[in-house]
Amino acid sequence: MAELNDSNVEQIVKRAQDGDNEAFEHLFKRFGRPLYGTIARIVGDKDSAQELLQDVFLKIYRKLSSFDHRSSFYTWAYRIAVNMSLNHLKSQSSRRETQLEPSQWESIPSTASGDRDAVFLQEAARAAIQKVPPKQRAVLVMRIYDGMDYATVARTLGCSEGAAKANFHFAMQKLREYLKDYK
Amino acid sequence: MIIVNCGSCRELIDEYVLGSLPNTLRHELEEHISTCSGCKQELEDARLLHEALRVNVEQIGDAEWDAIEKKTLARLRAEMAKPTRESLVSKIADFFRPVLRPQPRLVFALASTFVVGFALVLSLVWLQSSREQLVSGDSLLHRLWMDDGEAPRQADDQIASLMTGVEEILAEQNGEDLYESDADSTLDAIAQESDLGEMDPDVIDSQIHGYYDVWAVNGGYYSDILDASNEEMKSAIQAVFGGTENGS
Repeated sequence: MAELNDSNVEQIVKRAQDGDNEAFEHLFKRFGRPLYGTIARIVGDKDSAQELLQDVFLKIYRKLSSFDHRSSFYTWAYRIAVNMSLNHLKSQSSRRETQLEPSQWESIPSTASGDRDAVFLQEAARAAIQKVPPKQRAVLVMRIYDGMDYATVARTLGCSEGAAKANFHFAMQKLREYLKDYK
Repeated sequence: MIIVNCGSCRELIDEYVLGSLPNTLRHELEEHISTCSGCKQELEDARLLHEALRVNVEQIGDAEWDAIEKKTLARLRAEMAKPTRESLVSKIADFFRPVLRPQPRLVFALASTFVVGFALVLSLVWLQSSREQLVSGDSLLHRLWMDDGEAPRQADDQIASLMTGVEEILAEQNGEDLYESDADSTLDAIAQESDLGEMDPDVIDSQIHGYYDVWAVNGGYYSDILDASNEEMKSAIQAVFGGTENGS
């Protein structure tokens, strides 16, 4: 399918909507990887993220006929990915499963307390993110990793901008609390 | 207008590091930081934290992604091989076509019933949403401000009390997101903490959403609400609720 390229995503989407499965595979190849990154950061483990990526694209495939082109395809797909990640965390209670147990938490090297060792801080931050509640974590991922503004975050999650700001604020507050020993 | 002090500086610092502060506010914050060693340290800590978070981006190697892609495509192709919903619908239509085609009156009756039923459902949905809007418009925040004889500062105190309640609940629930928790227990707790036991839970819930919205109008920093002048509060609330002086 040589004529498919990134500059004509809208046409590719329309072809996929008309039942062109090759066009749909192209959409997956083009957008699957960034969406996988977002899903993995929200759910916090790669195995679940891989399963979810499949579920997300199955849903996109089944719902594609309802996509009305009012937003970009990626925005629409991103919204599905974020909401399915949050639903996964809620239904499976996997937030608790993916959270580190207290013993694991304590096993994170803390000898660097006070010396600002960047590596220790990164390891601690990785663990701390998993302790942030799902919705706040999703906002954190959208703001810090995906560079979204609050209006876009709010549209994606179906909440007000104020709630998006509040969630980000509380997420950062919690991260600081968890990481206070790493200052 | 936000006057940058150490408190507001700490609330603004993440937005500063993310580069999302408006120019005026950014300059004010930089000015404050240049004269405050504590906030300078906060900024350095915030930069380290953001850097540590960014490094934590899941790195997906090409080989790893190839395996994920292969597995996902296999599942997608299996799905694509199934009969589509459209063809099922067509099959059902094909099944009924010989029965319905010779009976246009029956088709008309069925279609009319469907249209009337659909209109009825739409009306019910519309009525329900109007009712919810009424609850929202009548939120405590709006009433606190607009009720005659209600001292503005008292409204501030009640908002502060509610916010403290929410924060305490969040702390009690060990960081549990308010909206993730069990709705009834959270609302009960909010009612207790914020001394709003008499309030309808829907109104309290609406009030919290209202608080977030006012917060957003004020730039997203709740210290601004507590420190805001009465006029600033009033205009923020009106901006959110579109309220009028006679709105209550």
